[in-house]
Amino acid sequence: MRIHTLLPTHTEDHGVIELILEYLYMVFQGLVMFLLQSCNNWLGQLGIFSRKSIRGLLTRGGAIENAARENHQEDTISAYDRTLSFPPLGVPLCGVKQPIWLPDFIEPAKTVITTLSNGLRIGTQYSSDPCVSVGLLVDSGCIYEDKRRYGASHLLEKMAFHSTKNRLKAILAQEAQAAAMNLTCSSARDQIFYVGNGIKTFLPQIVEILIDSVRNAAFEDREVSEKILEIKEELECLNNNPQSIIINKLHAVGYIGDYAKYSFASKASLQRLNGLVLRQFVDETFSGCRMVLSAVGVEHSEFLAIVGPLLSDLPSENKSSVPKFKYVGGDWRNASDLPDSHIALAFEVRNGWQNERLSNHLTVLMFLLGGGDSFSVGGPGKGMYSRFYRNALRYQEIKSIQSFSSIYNHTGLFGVYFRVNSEFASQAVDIVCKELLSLTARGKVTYQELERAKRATISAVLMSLECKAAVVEDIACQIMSYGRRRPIDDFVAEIRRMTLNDVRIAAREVLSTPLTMTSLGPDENIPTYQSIYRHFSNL
Amino acid sequence: MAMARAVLGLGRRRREDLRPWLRLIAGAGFSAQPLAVQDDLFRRYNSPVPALVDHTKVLSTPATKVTVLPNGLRVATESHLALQTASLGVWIDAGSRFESAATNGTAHFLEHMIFKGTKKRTLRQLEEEIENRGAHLNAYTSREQTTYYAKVLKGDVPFALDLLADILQNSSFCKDRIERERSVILREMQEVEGQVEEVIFDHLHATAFQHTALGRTILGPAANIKSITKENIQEYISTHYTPSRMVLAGAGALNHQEVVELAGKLFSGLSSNPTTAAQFIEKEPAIFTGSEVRIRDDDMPLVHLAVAVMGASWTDPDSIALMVMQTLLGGWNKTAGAGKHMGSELAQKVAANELAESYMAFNTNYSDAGLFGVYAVAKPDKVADLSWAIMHEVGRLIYRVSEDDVIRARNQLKACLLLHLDGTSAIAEDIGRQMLTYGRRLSLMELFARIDAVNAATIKRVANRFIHDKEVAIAAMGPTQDLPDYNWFRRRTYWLRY
Repeated sequence: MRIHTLLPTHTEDHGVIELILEYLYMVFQGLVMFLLQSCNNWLGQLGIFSRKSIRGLLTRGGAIENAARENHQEDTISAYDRTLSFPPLGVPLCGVKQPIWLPDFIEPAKTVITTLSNGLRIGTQYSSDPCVSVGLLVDSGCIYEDKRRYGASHLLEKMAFHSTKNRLKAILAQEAQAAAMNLTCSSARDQIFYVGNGIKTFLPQIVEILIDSVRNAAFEDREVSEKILEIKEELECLNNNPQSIIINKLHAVGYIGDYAKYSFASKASLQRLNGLVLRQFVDETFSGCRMVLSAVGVEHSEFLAIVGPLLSDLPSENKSSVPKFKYVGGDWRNASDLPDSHIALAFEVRNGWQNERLSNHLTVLMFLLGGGDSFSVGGPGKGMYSRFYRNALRYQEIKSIQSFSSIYNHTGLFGVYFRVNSEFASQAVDIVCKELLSLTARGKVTYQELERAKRATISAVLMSLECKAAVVEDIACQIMSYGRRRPIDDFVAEIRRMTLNDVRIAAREVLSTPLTMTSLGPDENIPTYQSIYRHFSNL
Repeated sequence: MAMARAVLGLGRRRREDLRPWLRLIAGAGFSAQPLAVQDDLFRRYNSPVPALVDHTKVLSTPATKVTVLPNGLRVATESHLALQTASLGVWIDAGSRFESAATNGTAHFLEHMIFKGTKKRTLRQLEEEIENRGAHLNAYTSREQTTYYAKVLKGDVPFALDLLADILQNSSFCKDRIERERSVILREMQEVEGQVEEVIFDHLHATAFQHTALGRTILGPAANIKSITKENIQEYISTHYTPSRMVLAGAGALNHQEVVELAGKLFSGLSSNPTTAAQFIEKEPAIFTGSEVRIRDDDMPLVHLAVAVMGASWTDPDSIALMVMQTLLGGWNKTAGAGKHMGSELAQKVAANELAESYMAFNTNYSDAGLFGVYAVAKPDKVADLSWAIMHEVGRLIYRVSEDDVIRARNQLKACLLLHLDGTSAIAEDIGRQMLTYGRRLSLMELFARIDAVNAATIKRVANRFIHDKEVAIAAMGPTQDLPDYNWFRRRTYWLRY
């Protein structure tokens, strides 16, 4: 950009000189371009666009003009160093405007929801914090993949924030860095969530890049094949991670139909994937009524004015949005060469998030059962008086144990995952089953235990909602599942009302579904499926 | 100026005509295909050229209120009364650098022992009380700071204060608990030794600050962990846990006046040793020694390398410029979103030529010293090229810095600082740390004004001050046969041709 400052700036209203200058400028620019390009050809092949002039030329002219103007301003002030006379950080800097302090109590803002004509829902909550968080949740994931597209969601997550129809990856990356935004994408079996975080002042920039990369992804062949290679490398790691295998296998054997699909691509399925497949998958599932846009820290009307034009022309049709599946339960074991046995037991949470009462009560059950590692860090407050921490971890053969739940919109799993010395596997399974069953029996769970678990649930939820990332996800997920956002006080009140009877009802409801179990590592001491299932058969 | 713009305008129009020609030569390295269907709707706000933006309007927060109690304890809080939770903790101007070689590890040992019961509460009572309230209690020890903090629900603030005061003043340090804790700490030591990054930074401190207290590790040597006594711990408390070296910091649903009143009553039994942290530091200052440690281990698959120069102390006005320089050098790993398109030229070089698996620039501050440099993990055959790239980019800060890059780094630094202040724990931590290091809480306005004052000229001056012809400290582990020698690095702290 420095080129511009080389031009003489004193001539005015001399048409001929202007023309000559223009001509010279063009020749100069052309020459510079050519020189830079020839040295950039090999750099370009390596993927670098390190020269600013090329960066600039690939974008709109307006950006160049702005930059030139700003550079000019900067040049006049950057000649000297303003910080030379600054005092140490312990001493206030003179001439800084006094900030406007906010009051200690700021009325918490309500969530406002607007539905666009194409069915896309927008939920926002204002906050006085200097940062914003914007999230776009799409009802799309591996459960919607058909045979030809297995693994598409995994690849789609990797392809987030790459070249779009409007900006090359290089430009997108530079624009994101110029406005210092933080872009992430995460996916589950039934949803994919794109998030942009940044300073409030940069809200329009964040929204524009976020929506452009979701709607107009170009899926350039070169980028897609690069990511496919990356996934292949990553699969090696995933296949060495017992937890991810166990959780995936729980779904694969527990369900028939859409929820049985693998959440990551396989080597075989990667061969079928390309940009076109991704485009079709996106066109099918990314429609208006399957999306929720949420934001924290924005004024609703202001936000609508920015996002409205970018989203209102999305098609609204809703094809194949109800997954077909059946939960059947089952058993999968792999006697691989691991030092410990990794075992998971799980049951179905019928209707998933749709069963609000059950899913809330199960959160409390999770804290009641708790868990941890045999060597764990952190101080008190990590669930040291939970059932598994007290009754399972006192056996040093049990290396780690954790109650878990993966709940989706239509179904879910609730269970226990533990790692145990293989010789102790049989006893460990008995201990775990005993603890699970005690939830269904009268008099086994004490009032004090329940109160502690309720308190832990409430504080965990409230503490996580301090962070914008958690709030933006909560708004989006609630609108997606229920079409509204329930005030947090309702949730807290519902948890407070929970009784020992509710614990038994919830536990019965879940534990009476067929058992799914998976194990990895030495399995000679793991009891048979039938003998474990028998524990739960008279519920 | 007007003329320049007129010329630019014409140039711009003409450039449209040149598009096909441009694309011909531009098309070689990367595809220009997506640009063919640009939609102006999606190109309204962004520009790849970083802009100067005034954030004043969004920087308002509730004020940080500070009260000094008669015994010297500072209470600093930021209230967010609409929240349902609060974080509250004690930040202490004490850590492993205040130990002697014989007692190295005491501060960390003490951190473990402090949760093990007091005269008022047994271990079980303490744990159960916290669990029953859904609270969290945690602690960490660093070279110069020790922190104990609690996270509680609204209404449990008096409980949290009582608990913190209790563990800090009345811990019982049972002898058999101390014996039992030794094995836990030795186990923790094993875990830390498994994390190469931690080990490298310990080695870097050990070599850069050799023969001074800052060079010792936080956990201490195993021999000390096995021999630290109850008396060592109690002496450490009475010498260093004094009210004037402590800050009680809180954020969230708490009332400043209430915290001040309760703290006045509860924290009355602290030691009254008059020695300040500054006096201890004056007696044993940190001395930076240009040196290196390399631990060759050809069985490791990757080389871990940290190169540093002496950085700035906490209060040094140039420490802000060093933060911008750290952002300029940036960091990179294989999962970084921007990949080869990072703003930092070091990241571009590393990504395009696959010089490293990951790298990050670091900038650590202490009371009277600092470390500024780059930590990288690389395949053994890339180490020589990587060393060149690192030293070239670090050295370049002295001579050639573009204003655009500085503006981008400033924007990123500001966003990073703001995004970090998410949640009451992060805010309380920020208050506690700033009160200890700066003696006050900087307003965001002042912090941003100081960042904005950094321009290319500042960077060059500060780089000249800290990097130009200065000694370096190097720590490396792994198959290091291709790592250049010390003098090679030392020579690259200045250029003779540029």
